[in-house]
Amino acid sequence: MIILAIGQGARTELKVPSDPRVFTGGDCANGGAEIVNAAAEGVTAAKRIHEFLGGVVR
Amino acid sequence: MLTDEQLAANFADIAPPLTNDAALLEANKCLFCHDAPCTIACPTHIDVPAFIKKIASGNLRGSARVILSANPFGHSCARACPVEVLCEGACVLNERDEQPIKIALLQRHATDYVLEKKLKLFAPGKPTGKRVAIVGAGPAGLACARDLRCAGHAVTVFEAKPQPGGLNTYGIAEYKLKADVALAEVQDIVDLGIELKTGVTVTSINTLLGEFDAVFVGVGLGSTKKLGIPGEELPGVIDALTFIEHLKTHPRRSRRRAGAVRPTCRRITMSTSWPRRMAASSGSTPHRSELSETAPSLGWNWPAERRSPAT
Repeated sequence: MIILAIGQGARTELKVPSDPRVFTGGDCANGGAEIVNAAAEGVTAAKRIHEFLGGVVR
Repeated sequence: MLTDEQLAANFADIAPPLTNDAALLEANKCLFCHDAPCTIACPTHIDVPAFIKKIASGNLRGSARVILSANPFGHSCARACPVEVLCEGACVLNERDEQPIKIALLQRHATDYVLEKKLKLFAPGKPTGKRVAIVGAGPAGLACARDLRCAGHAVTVFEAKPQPGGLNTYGIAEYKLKADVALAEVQDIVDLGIELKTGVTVTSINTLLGEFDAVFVGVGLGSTKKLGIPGEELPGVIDALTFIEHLKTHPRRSRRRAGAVRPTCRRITMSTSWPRRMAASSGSTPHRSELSETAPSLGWNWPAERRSPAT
């Protein structure tokens, strides 16, 4: 058996439009990092989305 | 062939949990730094001295609340974080030539407690009437979903795979994070009233924008890259993610075959050690020069002590 572990590629078939209503985070946005980086980016994105939807960020 | 017991031992927790007494002892070693470098080093900035203090005073629920309010994936991070370069690497005790506080194990102690007791620490916020779509039920998407739900937004998560959790469920080495723990952590988040649609591949973000007020894209990195050399499609050649996913979703069976692994840093450890844990007669990490004479030399060699695959 030969296992290829030469890095991962992004899901290219999904087009992400440049739209203020679209936010990104995690491996697809940081090129691949740890769980904790993905969680941190998800939390930050939630704050940005909440603010974008008119909510108050503490 | 390995026995079932030997296989289970090879895939057992690489860092077993602390007992209650050991956790109390460890928590009381913390200096509770005012300018806590561990908190600064953590990408989610968990208030580490605060959660350790709560463990020291026997308040495991409060401790878990401190952890999970900053990091919705506190359970899996306690098991799979590279803490030696993050919180524990920043611990001031390192500078006194002492062992750093076992922050990851303490975090696991507190978060395991709420998972075992099925305590609900968070509740959905007052409905705002806004709808958000999340594409990808990995740590990024679900962390975003949890906080949006707590803020009162209606959240729908789309996931292509049959199970949620992303690489937490399908791609983290089992001796670090078991799929059932990853799924329990996810369930805790989904229970806040998040609509989860698994087995659904989103093909157009623009279509979602017609239905939702905002979209979060956290699709991760898909397939492993291709080498682009002849023979890559032959049976017996498999990419690391597919290999690990197969192991995590199928009953383990011992193999007595040689395994060769073409390494990069991210999947190297688990990809080289797993064939050994499964009793392959060998697992090796050929250097670039061994695979193709035409490949340019990087002028770098894998350190000798790292060549042994069974670590």
